Amino acid sequence: MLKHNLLIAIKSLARVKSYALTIIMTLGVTLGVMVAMYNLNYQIIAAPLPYPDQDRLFLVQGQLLADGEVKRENYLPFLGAVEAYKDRHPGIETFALHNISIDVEQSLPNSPTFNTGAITPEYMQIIDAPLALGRQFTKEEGLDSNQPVAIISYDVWQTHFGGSSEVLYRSVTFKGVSFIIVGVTAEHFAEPVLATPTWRTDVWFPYDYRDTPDPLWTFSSNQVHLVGKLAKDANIKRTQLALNNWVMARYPAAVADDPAVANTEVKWRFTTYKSRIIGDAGNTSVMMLAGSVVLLLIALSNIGNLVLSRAVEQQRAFAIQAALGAQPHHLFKLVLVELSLLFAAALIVATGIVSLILGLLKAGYAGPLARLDELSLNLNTVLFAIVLTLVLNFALAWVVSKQLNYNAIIGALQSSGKGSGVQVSKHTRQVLVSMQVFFCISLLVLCVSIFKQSWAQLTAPTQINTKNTSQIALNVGTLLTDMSSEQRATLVLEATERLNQHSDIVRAGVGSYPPISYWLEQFSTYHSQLQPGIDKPVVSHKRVWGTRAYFETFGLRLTQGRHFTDAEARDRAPVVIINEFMAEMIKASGQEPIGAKLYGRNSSVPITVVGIVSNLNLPNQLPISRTYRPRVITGYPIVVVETKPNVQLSRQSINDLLAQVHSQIRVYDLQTTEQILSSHLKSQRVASIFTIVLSMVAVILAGIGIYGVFSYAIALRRYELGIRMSIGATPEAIFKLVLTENMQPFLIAAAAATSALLIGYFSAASAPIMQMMDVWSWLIPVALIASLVVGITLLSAWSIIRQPAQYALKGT
Amino acid sequence: MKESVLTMSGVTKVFSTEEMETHALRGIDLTIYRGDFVSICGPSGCGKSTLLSILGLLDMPSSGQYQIEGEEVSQLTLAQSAYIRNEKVGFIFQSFNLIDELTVYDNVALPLRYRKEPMSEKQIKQAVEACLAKVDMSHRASHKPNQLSGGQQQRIAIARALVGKPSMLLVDEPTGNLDSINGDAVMAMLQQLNAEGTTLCMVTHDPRYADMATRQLHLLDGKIIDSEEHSDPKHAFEIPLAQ
Repeated sequence: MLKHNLLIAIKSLARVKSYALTIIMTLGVTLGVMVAMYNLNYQIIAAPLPYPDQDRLFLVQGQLLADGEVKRENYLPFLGAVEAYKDRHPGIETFALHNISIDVEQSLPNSPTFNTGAITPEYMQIIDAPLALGRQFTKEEGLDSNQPVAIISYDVWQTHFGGSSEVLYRSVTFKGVSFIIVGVTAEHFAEPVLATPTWRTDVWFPYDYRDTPDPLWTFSSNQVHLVGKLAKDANIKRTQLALNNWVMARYPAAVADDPAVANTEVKWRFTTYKSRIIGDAGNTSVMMLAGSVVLLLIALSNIGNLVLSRAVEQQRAFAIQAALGAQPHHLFKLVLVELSLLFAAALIVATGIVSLILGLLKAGYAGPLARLDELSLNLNTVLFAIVLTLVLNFALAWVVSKQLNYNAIIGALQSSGKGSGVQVSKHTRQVLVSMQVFFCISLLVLCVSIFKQSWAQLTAPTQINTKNTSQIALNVGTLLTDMSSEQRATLVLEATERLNQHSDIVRAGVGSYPPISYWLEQFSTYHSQLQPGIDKPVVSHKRVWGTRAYFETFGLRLTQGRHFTDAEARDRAPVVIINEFMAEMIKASGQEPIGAKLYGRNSSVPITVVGIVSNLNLPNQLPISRTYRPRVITGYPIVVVETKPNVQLSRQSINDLLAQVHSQIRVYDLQTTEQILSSHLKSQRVASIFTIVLSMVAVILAGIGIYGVFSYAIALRRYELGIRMSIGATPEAIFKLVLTENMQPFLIAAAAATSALLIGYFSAASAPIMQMMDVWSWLIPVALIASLVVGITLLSAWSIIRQPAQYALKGT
Repeated sequence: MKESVLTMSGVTKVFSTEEMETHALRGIDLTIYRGDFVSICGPSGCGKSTLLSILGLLDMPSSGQYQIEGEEVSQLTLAQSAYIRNEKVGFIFQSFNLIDELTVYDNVALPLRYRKEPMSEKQIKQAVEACLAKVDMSHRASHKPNQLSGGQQQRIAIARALVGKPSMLLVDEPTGNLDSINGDAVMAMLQQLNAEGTTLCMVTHDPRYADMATRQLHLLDGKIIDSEEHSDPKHAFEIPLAQ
C-alpha cells in the first residue's frame, strides 16, 4: 500500500513540478539555514570543549583598584603571574603561563610573520593538546630552562615545511635564536582562544623566550595570560579567594617603591575557559538562530498555503477516491506521503545548505564567532534536522487533513464536481497572512535596527587619513636585547628616513601602535591628574607616542596650539597634544587647555599641553580622551606612511631598504589604513550584509506567501466581484474593496508585532538589540510590508479589474 | 417620434485564442427605443449572451459603433463603462447573482453605493424600500439570499436592477433557474414594468416568453436574421403552464 501511495505521489508531483520545486527549495533553504544556526548554537553553547576536565580550566583576570574604584581592567601584574605560577596554591592542580606575540621568522624564505605563543609545559598538558608529530614540551623545557625548542601548528607544517615527516629536529629562527622543532599540533587541535577570537598561534616556544620585558609587579599586558587547572573537587570561589589573599600579601610590598601605584590593590578573578572562549558569541549566535527560526516560520506559512491550495486543486481526485471507498485516513495518508516526498527532498537540499553555511562561518564570513574551528555537521545536528523535518511534515499533513471535509468531498462528486469539499476558510487564510506579516515585521524591525547601526558605523567619517596611507609594523629582532634604547632610536629614525626616500612614499613618521592598527586593541586607559599629588581629580585617557610626521600622516588635525618638534620627539619632551574631548574636560575644571599641566599619580613632574587636535571616530571605540606624546618608539615601532596615489607597497622592497639600515630590522605587518579599517569593520559589514539578505529573503518569502493567499481569495471571490462590476463597481472600487479586506490581517499582525516588540523593549531595555531600536526601525518595516500588501492586492486583483466585468462573471 | 435608448451599428465580437478565432457577433445593427420590450432568441451558441454582455457594457465590441442615449460607448475605459452601466443599465441574470454575504437590503442598495455622485444613506434607504415594496419583498429586507426561494431571489434581483432607475433593463434568461409558477410570476412582473414605461431587452430561448415581448429578434451565427414586431404581445396569464 505504501509503495502504491508512493508511486501515486511521485506521478502526481511530476505533474506539478513548479509546485514541488517551490516547496523543496523554500523549505530546503530555510530549514538548512535554521539547522546550520542550530549547529552553531549547539557548538558554541552546549557542546563540551575538546579538553579534558573543561570545567576545571580557568584564566586569571585582574583589576587595579584604588580606594575601591577600578582604575584598570585586565590588570595582571606580570611578575605576580610568574610568582603565582612558581608557588603552590590550595585548590589549584597546576598553573601555566602563556604570552602571545607576533614575530618574524628569520630562516625561512620571505621572512614570514608568525603568531607566537611563549608557554610553560603545563599550558598544553592541561588541555591535552593532540599532536600530529613529536611531543609536547617537557618539564625540562619549563621556566628558566632556556631550551630553544618549538612546536609548530599543523598549518605551518603544511605551508612552510610541505607536510614533511622530517620536520622534527629542523628549526625555526626568531630574534636570532634557532628553535628545534619537537612537535606539530594535530589538524583538529582547537586552540583555546584566550586573547582575541581570530588569534591562531603558529609557533609555540618555551616561556623563557617571551618578548615582553622582564617581569615586574607594576607591568601588565593583555599579551600575558596566567591559566590553570583546579584540583579535583576544589571549590572555584574558595580557591579564588585564597589566591587573592596570596596576591594581597605580596602586592603592597612589591610596589612600595613605585609612587604611581601607591595605595592601590589588585584583585584577581577566575574565568572558566568556556566562558572566556564563548564570550559574547552566545548572544550573537542566539540572535542568528532566532532570525533563522522566523525565516522558517515565514516559509512554513507559505508552504502551508501552497499545500492547502493544492488540496483544493486535488478535490476531484479525492472525491473519486472517496467514491471508490477511500476513508478519511486514506486521504490523510495520500497527503502525508506526498508531503513526505517533498520534505525528504527538502532535507537533502537543507543538508547542502548547512554544509555551505558552516563553510562560510568557518571562513569567518559571519565575523569572529567563538569555536568556529570545531564547527562541523555533527550527529546531534543531523538528528535534530531529521526530527524537525518529521515534526513539520506531520504537522502540515494534519493541518491539511483538517481542511478536508470528507462529506463535502463525496458530495462534490455527486454534484458533478461543482461543490467545495476542500476550501481554505477565510479564517485560515487570514491566519496565514497574519502569521507571515507578524514574523516578517518582527524580523525586519530587528534587521533594520541592526542594519542602521552597522551602516552608520561603516559610513561614519573616521577623521583620520585613509587615502594612500599604510602602516608598516617593524620587528627589530635581536636589537631589542642587544642595543640600548638610544641606539635603537637612532636606527629606527634612520629606517624611517630610508622609507621616506622610497620612490613610492611621500612621507613617513614613526610611533607606537596608532589608535587603530592591525593589532588587537592595545591601549590601556591612563589616568592623569590636573594637579600634583595623590588622589586628585583625574582625567582618563588613551595614549599614543610618535613623531610629528607620524601623527600628521596618521591624520591628526591640529585645531589649536602647536605640534611637536623633531627634537621634542628625540628628547621625549614633557609636552602633550590632547584631543578636543579631553580639552572640554579640562575646560570644565576651570583651566585653559593650552598650557594646562598633567601629572601622573603621585608625581610632581608636569607634562604641558601644547596643542589640541580633532576627535577621532574609530570603529568599535567610544569617544574618549586621547593624549599624543612625542617619542621615538624603539621596541615595536610602527611607521605610518603616505604613498603616491595608486601605489601598492611591497614587503620585499621595504625589507630591502630596511636591510640597508640593519639586517635585524624587518617588516612583520604591512597594511593600508583602508585594509585595517576594513578588518575592524568586518562585523559591521557582515551585519549589514546579513541583515539585508535576511530582510530580502523574508520579504520575498512573505510576498510569495501573501500573494498565494490573496490570489486564492480573489479566485474564490471572482464571481462575486464580477457581480459587483456588473452593477457598476469601477475597477478602483473593486480594488478598494479587496484591499480593505486584505488590510485586516495586516493590521492585526502589525499590531501584534508592535506589541511583541514593545513588550520586548520594556522587558529587556538594556539588551543591545533593544537599544538599537527607534521609531524608524519600526516605521520602515511596517510601511514596507503595508506597501507590499497593497502591491500584492493590486497584483492579485489585476486579472479581475483590468478586464471587462464579463470575464470575471464567466471566469475566462 | 420614438426616442432611441441604444443604437448599435456593425458591432462585431471576436474571441481569439492561440489556435483559433471565434466570431461571436458578425455585424449587429440594432436600435432599441424607450419603452420597448425586446426579446432576443436563438439556438445555443448563436451569440445571445455575448450581445447582451455588450449591450450592458459587461464586455467591449471588437468593432462597430454603440451608443447609449446618444453617447458613444464602444471605446470607453473600464471605469467609464462602469459608471454608465451603474446609471443607465439594470441587469437581471438567470442565476440571480445576489451576493450571499449581504442581506437583501444591502444587495438591493449595492448599485447606489457605486454611484459616481455618492448618495446619502437616507436617499439609499428610500430608494431601496420603494423597490422592495414594488417586488413585494419588504418583509425580507434583513434576510440573506440563501434564506429565500429562487423566485424570491429573482424578485430581489429585479429590485436591485430597478433601484438605480436605469434607462433599460437587460434580462438574461430570467426564468432559467425557476419553476414554471415562479417563472411566470417573474415574467408578469417584467411585463408590468414594461407597461409602466421601463425599457426591457431580454435574452431567452423559451418561445412562450419571447412572445411576451413587443419585438422579437432572432440570432443565428452572430447575426440578426429576423426581427418581428408584436402589436399585441401575449400576457403572462395567457401562457399555458409549462410542460
